[in-house]
Amino acid sequence: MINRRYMAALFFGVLLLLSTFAGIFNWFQGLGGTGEHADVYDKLFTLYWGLGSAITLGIFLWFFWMLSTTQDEEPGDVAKLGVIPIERGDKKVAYAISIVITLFLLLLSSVTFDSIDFFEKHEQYETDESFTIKVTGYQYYWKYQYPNGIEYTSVENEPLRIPVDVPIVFEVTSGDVFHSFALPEHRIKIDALPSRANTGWIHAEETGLYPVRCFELCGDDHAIMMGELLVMEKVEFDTWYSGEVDA
Amino acid sequence: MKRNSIFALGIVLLISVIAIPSFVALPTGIGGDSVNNGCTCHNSESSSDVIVTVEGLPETFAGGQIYTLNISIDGGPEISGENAGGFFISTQLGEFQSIDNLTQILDNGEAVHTAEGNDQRNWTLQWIAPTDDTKSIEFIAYGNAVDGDGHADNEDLWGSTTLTTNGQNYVGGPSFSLDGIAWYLIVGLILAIVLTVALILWKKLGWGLAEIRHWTTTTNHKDIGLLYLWTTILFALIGLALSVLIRLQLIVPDNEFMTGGLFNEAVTMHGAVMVLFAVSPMSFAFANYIVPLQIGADDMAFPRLNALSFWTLLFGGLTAASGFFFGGAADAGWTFYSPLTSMEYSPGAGISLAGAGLVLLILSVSTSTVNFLVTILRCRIPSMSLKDMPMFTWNILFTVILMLVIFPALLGAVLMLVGDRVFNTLFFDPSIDGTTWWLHIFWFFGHPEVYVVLLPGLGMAMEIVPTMVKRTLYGKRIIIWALAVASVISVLVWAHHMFITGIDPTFRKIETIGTELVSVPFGLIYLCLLATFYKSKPDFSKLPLAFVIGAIGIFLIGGVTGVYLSSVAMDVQLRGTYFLVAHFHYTLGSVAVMTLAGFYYWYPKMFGRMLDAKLGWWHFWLTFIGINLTFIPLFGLWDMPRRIYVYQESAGWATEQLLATIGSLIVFIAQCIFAWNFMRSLKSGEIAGDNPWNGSTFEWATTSPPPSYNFEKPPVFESENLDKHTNQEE
Repeated sequence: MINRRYMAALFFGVLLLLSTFAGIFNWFQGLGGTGEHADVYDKLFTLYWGLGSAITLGIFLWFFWMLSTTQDEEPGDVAKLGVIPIERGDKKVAYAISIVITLFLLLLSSVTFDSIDFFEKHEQYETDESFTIKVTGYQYYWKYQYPNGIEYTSVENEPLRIPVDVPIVFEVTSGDVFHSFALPEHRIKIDALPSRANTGWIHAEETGLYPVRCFELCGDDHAIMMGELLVMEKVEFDTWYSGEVDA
Repeated sequence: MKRNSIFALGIVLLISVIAIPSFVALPTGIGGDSVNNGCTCHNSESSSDVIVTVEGLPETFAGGQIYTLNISIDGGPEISGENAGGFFISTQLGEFQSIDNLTQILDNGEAVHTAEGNDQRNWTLQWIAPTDDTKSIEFIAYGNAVDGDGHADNEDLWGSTTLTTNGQNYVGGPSFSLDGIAWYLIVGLILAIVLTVALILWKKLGWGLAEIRHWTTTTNHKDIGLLYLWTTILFALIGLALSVLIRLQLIVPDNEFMTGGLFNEAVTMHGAVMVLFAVSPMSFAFANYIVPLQIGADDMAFPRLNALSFWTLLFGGLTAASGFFFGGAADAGWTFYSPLTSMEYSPGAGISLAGAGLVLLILSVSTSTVNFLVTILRCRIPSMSLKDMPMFTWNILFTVILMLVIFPALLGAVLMLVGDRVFNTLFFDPSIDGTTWWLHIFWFFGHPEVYVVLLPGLGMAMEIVPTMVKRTLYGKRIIIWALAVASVISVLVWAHHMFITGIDPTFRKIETIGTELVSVPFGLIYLCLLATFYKSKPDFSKLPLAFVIGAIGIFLIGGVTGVYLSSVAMDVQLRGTYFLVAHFHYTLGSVAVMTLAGFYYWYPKMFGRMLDAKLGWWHFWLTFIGINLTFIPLFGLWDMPRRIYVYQESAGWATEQLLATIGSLIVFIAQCIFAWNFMRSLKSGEIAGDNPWNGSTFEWATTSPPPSYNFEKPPVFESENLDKHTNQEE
């Protein structure tokens, strides 16, 4: 029968969609970041991804079950032209579902709030070695200012240098338009607004070269507003840091 | 006489709207905020005695060339002391360079004298011309002649001068920025559409003056609904074509198909056209046609106001899009974040034209809001109480109430923005945190706007599902209450678009919870819609049902990823990435698919013929697969900034972008099939009859298409259970 065929095809399409979706996210998980933020973020993401996929799957399955109850004879409550339809639906079910969803979301929120406190309350995590780097966004480069007076920009092909294993605070602002300073691998993004200084911090755990990007449309060359973050061994960093001052 | 004067007034208004973007106000004089070194000892008014001259500026400049400028002041008071004068010069393009300690360059690129440099009345500095030599550049120089007595008084005088230099390749007048092949594609496509439409109307349908007169002066709600339909199909095609251009640019890394500027224009106009001028008004095409029929009215409450809504919408969209032909359309993103939209960072008419277009759109929306509210509340047949209204009408009611609340905020925002650009009003001055101010006011509009887009689509789904599965909608009352709650919550959660802009942490937590709570009413609506299928008799061979089921699947993924984004901590990572892009295209894409379902459902009523089913199924599967192929890969690009026109091979984004581009091409092909089906079925479709779907609402109680007065005799609504329905007050 034609109906059944289309039904099967539809199921197949939705299932395909679902599995692709889940697969992509598995792959997403596999990527991972670096540093302390990435650990916190990955846990949070795993929670959301797990619950989200479970709910998506659950609802699709429930819908398939709904479709399996469909029948060939006409149900009694079909609406007729010009006649007020019979009302159906149970208020109590609606209340119950609302309460369940709300409680579930409040639970999620509490996890979220712990994470955002970790991402932003840098005072608690700073050590004696920590320092603040001022980052200013311009069309289309970043200017970095260290506490000891070292100052350079990303157009000079110089990476932003930080020592490994030291919590570093970034104070981000903009010299012209709205930018967003992001270290995607370290899972941190700080909006750069003119006349406003936003702070964020990272705790790099591995040395290496990482991308710095702008995440807010800031003009024609937004795409090439890129820089690099160089996480250095402490000794190397100290040499560079003091060397610049002597020069 | 009266009619003529109104006509004249209209023309004056139209000319002023067109003319406004071409005025450019001068900066805030010599004592303005931008000058904080020197130049403070001056009068409030300039003096014609003081002549400022700038020598060394050529009439035409070469790109990248360095020119030495000599600024001197003649006239003014005698020098009687140490100090003699000061200067200040600014321009939009190129860079000043100081060559001695008498001049300095400020952070914003303007040049002034130093403390050492205020003992004389002429200075020398260099100007490096921009590499782009197709521009015309204006300079403003101020000179201050002081008497040197050590205090500022009326004896110190100042003057100013403006100069212009043109690039060697500057073409006068409104510059057609020929940005290569993509630009020709845009212009070619628009011209092709207009020509094809004109040709079809003239040759195939034998249109003459009478038809033109009819369609330009009609006030019948069904005619206006059709005008809305044709117009929004045109806008949607433009938006779709722009999206294909965007995808073609990103198909491979380091692509040189478009420049950054043109890409930004395409991105901006795709967003603005799709959200504001295509999807939302397309639902109102159906609302115009169907709502009066569903409530048994013979027309809208204010038919002429209805016509006004349509014509302002049309000209609003054309005005906003016309920027392409006047030196570049708006290119700051459809969210128009300040201060990128200011005259300083976005010179040119694009954003002002978009602002003018938006004002016309708001006029259209406001008038149709009033019209629908009065129509729905006052023009129903007496036997239909509010709670008995069909669900599509209910959804339109909530939509127009939301529009009533939010569009004034957009009007305020746009007027302030245009004021800043045209009259230098400084509402969004970055130095007083105008950026955050814009974010607040824009998103107060912008967030509920997505519900304005969504609700009519949901309404269509709620009409189609019960009709196609032969059961009444489960929990109609629950859905109505949920819609009310969702509408209220939606205007309270705008700040989730600004989680990491530095707003108060407590406020942010409130907004997180509020945003998550949006999923409660929508969850209920969604589950009620699915529960309608329980023990029903669905006919899966019907296209409207297929589209609705497709939209249901797409909407769930959009909704679940929306919960991810509502979390303030997740948002730190996901904000501004392709994950976000994929999320909102899943929600808005599902609305688009629901609207397509509406097309298949109501096409027989509007044109009296069915759409071809075979082509329809091709359209369905290609659209469904194409949308998922486009946006599922983009969920993986959680570290790729949105709105970038070029990316590097090493970033590892190429596969996803390629898949997405293929998907978008499939969607585009599918819509071409649909357009072909739409045109073909007008003449050769199967005759539909009055009620092809066995629908139960009143639009099916009249002929297809309905006569201009809608019903032979007004329909009557009967209750099967008369006892239950004796009290009609509700």
